[in-house]
Parts: sequence; C-alpha cells; structure tokens
Amino acid sequence: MSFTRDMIETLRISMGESKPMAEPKPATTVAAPPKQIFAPQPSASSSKFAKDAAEHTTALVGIGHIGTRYATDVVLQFQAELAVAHEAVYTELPESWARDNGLLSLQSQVSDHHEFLLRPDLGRRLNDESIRALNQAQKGIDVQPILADGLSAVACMQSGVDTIRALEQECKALGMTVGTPMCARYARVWLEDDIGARVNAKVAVIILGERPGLGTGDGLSAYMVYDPKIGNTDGNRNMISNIHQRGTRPPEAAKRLAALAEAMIQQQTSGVNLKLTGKLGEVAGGGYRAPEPRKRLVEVNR
Amino acid sequence: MRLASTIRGVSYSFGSIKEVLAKANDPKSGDDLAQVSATSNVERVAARAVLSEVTMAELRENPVVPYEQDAITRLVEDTLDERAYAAVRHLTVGDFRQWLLATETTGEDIRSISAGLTPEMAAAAAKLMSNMDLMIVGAKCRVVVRANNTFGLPGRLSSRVQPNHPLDNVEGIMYSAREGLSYGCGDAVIGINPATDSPASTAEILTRLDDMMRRNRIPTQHCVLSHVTVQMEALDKLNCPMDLMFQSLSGTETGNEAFGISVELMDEAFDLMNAKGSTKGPNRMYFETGQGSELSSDAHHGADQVTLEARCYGFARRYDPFLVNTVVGFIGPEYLENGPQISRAALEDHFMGKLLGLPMGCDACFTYHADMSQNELESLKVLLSSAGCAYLMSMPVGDDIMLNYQSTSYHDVPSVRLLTDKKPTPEFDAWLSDRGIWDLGQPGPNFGRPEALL
Repeated sequence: MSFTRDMIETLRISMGESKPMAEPKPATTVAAPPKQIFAPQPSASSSKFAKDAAEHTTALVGIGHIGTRYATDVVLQFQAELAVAHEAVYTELPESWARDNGLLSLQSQVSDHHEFLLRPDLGRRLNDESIRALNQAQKGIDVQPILADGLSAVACMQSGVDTIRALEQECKALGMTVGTPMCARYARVWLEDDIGARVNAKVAVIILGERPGLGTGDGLSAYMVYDPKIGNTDGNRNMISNIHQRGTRPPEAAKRLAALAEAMIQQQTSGVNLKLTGKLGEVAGGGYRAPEPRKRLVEVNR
Repeated sequence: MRLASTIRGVSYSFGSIKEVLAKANDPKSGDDLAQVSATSNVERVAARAVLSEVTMAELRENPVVPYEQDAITRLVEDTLDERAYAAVRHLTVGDFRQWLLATETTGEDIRSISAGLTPEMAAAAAKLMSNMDLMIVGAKCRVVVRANNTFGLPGRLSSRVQPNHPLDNVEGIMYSAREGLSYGCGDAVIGINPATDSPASTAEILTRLDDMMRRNRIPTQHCVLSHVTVQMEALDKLNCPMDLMFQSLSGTETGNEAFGISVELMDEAFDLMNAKGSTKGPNRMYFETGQGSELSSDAHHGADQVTLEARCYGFARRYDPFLVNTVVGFIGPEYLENGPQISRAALEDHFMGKLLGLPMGCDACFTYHADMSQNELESLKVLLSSAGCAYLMSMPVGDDIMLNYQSTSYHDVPSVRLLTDKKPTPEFDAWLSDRGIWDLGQPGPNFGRPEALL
C-alpha cells in the first residue's frame, strides 16, 4: 500500500468510516415563531416603537428580525415594492398613446428603451420626423406645455393628461397664450430646450415621470425654463416634483406651474435668478418628495 | 513614444497614454457615453498589453489632464513623495501588478510606497487586474485612522447609519438612527444627507445627534452631509458640534468647480475643522466620490471614469480623511449599466483608494433604473467585506426614502459580519457588548430592540 492510501484509510477510520456525519437527531415539532407584521400597519404591529416612528417617518423601522434577517412578511412587502419600482421603469409609453389622448406625438432621437437609459444626450433632442411634426404646432406662444414619459411611463399615463390639460386652463386664465399640447417619448428634461426653441415659446414646461422610488412609480415632475434654447443648464430651471394623487394633485400643480410661468415672463428669467418673493415662494415650493404613507402591498387570500 | 501591440497578427496602436488607459478599462457604459472605450474585447486586451509595458515614470509624466490645465494634477505632482516614488518609478505596470500580488509583499510594504503613487498609477494597475486580484490586494492594504473610533483595523467591518428623511424631520431621523444602532450599525458615522442645505438645519440635526450620542454614551462620529460651505458656516457661526466634515469630490478642477469647491476652499475647510471640530481626531474629514461624476458635469477631459475616480483619491489624501466612500451605483445606468459593471466599479474603487492610502468604504447600491438585482447587490456586500472594505452604508431595508435608491440595510451589516467573521471598531464593539446588542460575534438580547436606546 502506498503512503497516500494509508493516510486516506487512517483518516477515514478516525472520521467515522462511511458515515462522516452523525445520524440527525429525531425531529420534534417546530414551533412557529411569533408572527411579525410589516410595521406601517400600526394596528397589527406589536411594536410601540414602530407605531411611534410611523408618525414621523415612512422609513421601515421597528420591523424586528429573524436571526439577522427580515421576517417573511417584510421580505414579501420589500419584494413587492421593488417590483412596482422596476415595473414603472420598464413600462414603455405606447406609440399611439399621445394621439389617442389628443396630443401631438413626438419622439426624441432615442430609438428604444435600452438606448433611452444609456444615452441621455439623445433623449434631449427631437428626431427628424418630430421636427417635421412641429410644423403643425402653434408658434410664438407664451407657454409650451410638453408631457413626456421620462423614467416612468406609468406616471405619464396615470396623471399626465389631467396635469397638462389643467396647466393649459390655468395659463389661459392668467391671460397667457398656450402652445399645442404635445407628448414626447423617450424624453429627458432638457428636451424642453429643443422643443421650446423650435416653437419660439417664452416658457417651456416639460411634465415627465420621475425616477421611481421603492413602492412608488407614479410620480411626475415638472421642469420649467424661460427662453428655452440648447445650452440652458439645470440652474436655469425651476421644478415641482411629486405630482400624483397622494402628493401634489394635478390641479394644484397646474396652478403653481402657471403662477411660475407668469413670474418668469414678468421677470424675463428662470431658475436661480427667478425671485420667488411673497406668495410666489409658497407656490414654487421645495424640490423634494414629501413623505407618503407606505401602503401594505401584499395580502394573501386563501 | 510608440504604443502598439499585436494580437493574432492584427496590430493595434494608440495615440496617447490617456487613450491606452481608457481602452484598457473593463466595459463601462459611461466610457461608451464619453466615446473613449475600446471598440472590441480584443482591442481592450491589446490596450492592456501596451499598458503592461508602460512604466510608472511614464505615467507620472503623462497625467490624463495636463499640469498647466488642472489644479488636481498640480496638487498630485507638487506633493508627491519623491522618495516613495523613486522606489517604484522604474517598474512597468505589469511588474507593479505582480509586486502587489506577490505573497512576500505585505500591507506594510504597500504603505511605504503609497505616497509616491499618482492616481494614474493606481488606475493603471486596476485595469490589469481581475475582480479577485483587486480583492486580494485590497485586503492586504491597511489604512487605520482615528476620530472618536479607531477605524479600518484588520478583521473589522464598520457601517454608516444613514437615517435620511425627505423633510429633515429630526424626530424621524432619530427613530431611524436608533433602529440602526440597535442592529450594531453606525460605528463609522451617523451621517444624514439633508433635504435642506442650510446652516441652521445642519446645526440642528448635529446638535440633536450629539445629544442622543451623549445620552446613550455611543462611541462614534456624527456628520451632516450638506455642502462644505454650509457646514463651515454652521461650525464657525453657529458653533454646533461637528465630528466629521463632509464634501463630494471630483477628479478634475472643472469637476470640482461644478461641485462648488476648489483646493483652496477645501484647505480652508480643513483648517477650520482642525480648529473647531468636536473629535480629538486627528482624522476629521469625510469624502464621497463615484465613477462618472466628471462626465456628468462635462469635466472629464476625454479621460476614462476609472482614472478620473482615482484622481478624486489623489485630492482626498491631502486631508487625511477619516472616511472615504465611493457611492458606486448611485449615478445611474448611463455610467454603470448593470450588476457586473457596478460590482466591478466597487472593487476597483476600493482597491485604488486603499492603494493610495485612504480608509475606503463603499455604498453598494443601485438606482431602480439600473439593471441590477437585489441578489446581486447582496452578493456585492459580501465581496466588499472579503476585500477588506472598511465600511458599508446602512438604512432601513436599504431604502433611502429621500434619495430614492437601494443600498445596504440595517440587517445586512450584522449578516455580512457573521458571514465574513468581522467585528465593529473596538470602541463600538465594547459599547455594543455593554448594551447587549452584539456580543461575542452574535446578536445579543437587545439586538434589533431600538426601544432599549434613549
């Protein structure tokens, strides 16, 4: 016998021959651990900490733990929220959607959704067909409203039409002329510069889907710029975020946007240079997403 | 200088070291966007072959942004440790990679030459390394610093508690912070990204955090990540406590202009912090970086995003920071498209930062429009801990309710510590044990019980 075979044999004997593991111990009934309920449902949660915290933050705290991991209930809620966010990102605006909703249909230079995510530069310019389509649009107006998919077509389809129609009404009520309402696919914020310059608008407003957060994919943001032209930067823009049924509702957002447009035309500027004094300060608001109560997303029915 | 190589009879030539560095990069959507990447995988290898024969001296002589044009290049060149540089100047990048990986080369050996390396040298080495190469060398490098805690010791993994709130509701911030502490998180820093960038709110949050840390006798550091000028005003005029001062850095002068900072401004901030900061130190600064930020402000000068990221570290090391964090997946898919690119960038950044002498942490994260799964993100946290990463972020279920992205959770930090056999900083570990939160490497009776904290 070789040295190697001897060594293997000796170790085999010392480690239990054919059974390197002992027999498993006999099974006893596994007691179900106490049920842990996802925290934002304070009525069901047993944690006072979770209940108190829910009055101040939507962060998922007081959710307990199993070992160092989440309870099953928390895992399912988390996965549902993640799925909602991803679904919002990957849903595309149907090509016919703009026309079906009475809006002039435009598209950026982006040709598919993958390219849209990777090429922000192409999302900021109209394609040739859309440039031709702008021949049908009114020129030389005060305000050009533009609806767009942005990073959530779901948001665009949910409250987009309500918002852009309300904006038209509010601007007209303040005596401003409003351009042909339009909707752009695969659009980034700065597309408003390209469009606004081509229709010779004083103010361009683009209303588009926000980058979704966990469990939310239906928020719209509106970005406005005075004297739209290629070369404007974010410092030239004003914005209102969080436009949806649970945040700033479309009619309210439209009022604020129209007031901002009026101020931009009066002051002939926008962005950091726009003076938001008095009531306008309230109207302009902050650029931050207000906390929304988290909703329980998963219910098992059996 | 001739920069050419041949693969299967096809020859590839390159116009400059900057081009070689860019084309040698692992694939990144941001390099494609900047139109500096290799056009094929074979060209990428051809560029790496050329790079492997470039010497450290040639890299020093050819920074990706010229000395005359850029304050960061000048800072690196003018303050380079000549003695440390002389020890490596003759090496090719290929030799340097092998020296770093050799068993005989210790972390102490690497530390002795670190101050003689330019960012371009660290980036060049990264381009010749696989992910596991990056991890092996990253784990070797030792960078230990001290504020209240002693941070970066071997066998330790720390975390930042990041209890952000979309309206800066201080009660909400405190609930989230206590939750994180009860999972053993927060030994790197309790750091809040404020929604409102004002000196008053910065001072208010810091004061409340300071109270909470005193009440519970927590050995850690606090920080509010507002713009550095806002923190300077809060510290100087409002006299608030401030353990760490924060700023985002860029790898070029124009990139830093877009962040509203300069070397002179950061020098001033550093002096103020040394005079009035509330820890004993000596390390009092906290910086964040991330591949792609230069291109996003059109300040990339035709260079690739890995080399530009290394240049952020060349800037950061001037201030002996307590923490440096690469916020790797935050910038979005136009710079790092998917899980493999985000993971690769995390390991590159950690390696380059450590090599250049910085206490590196990583915000392993994705935005919801990047193509990365939750499982890939969890795997990355284990990779980073194995690679010796000093700290991870932490927040409730990894969900930042203000910044809307997915990062590390309060539950992930103790999980990764268990998997990779790591402890918190010694000071914090003693506190956790005393409070029954984490003891002898296991959850204690008060683990996950924030009600036990005041």
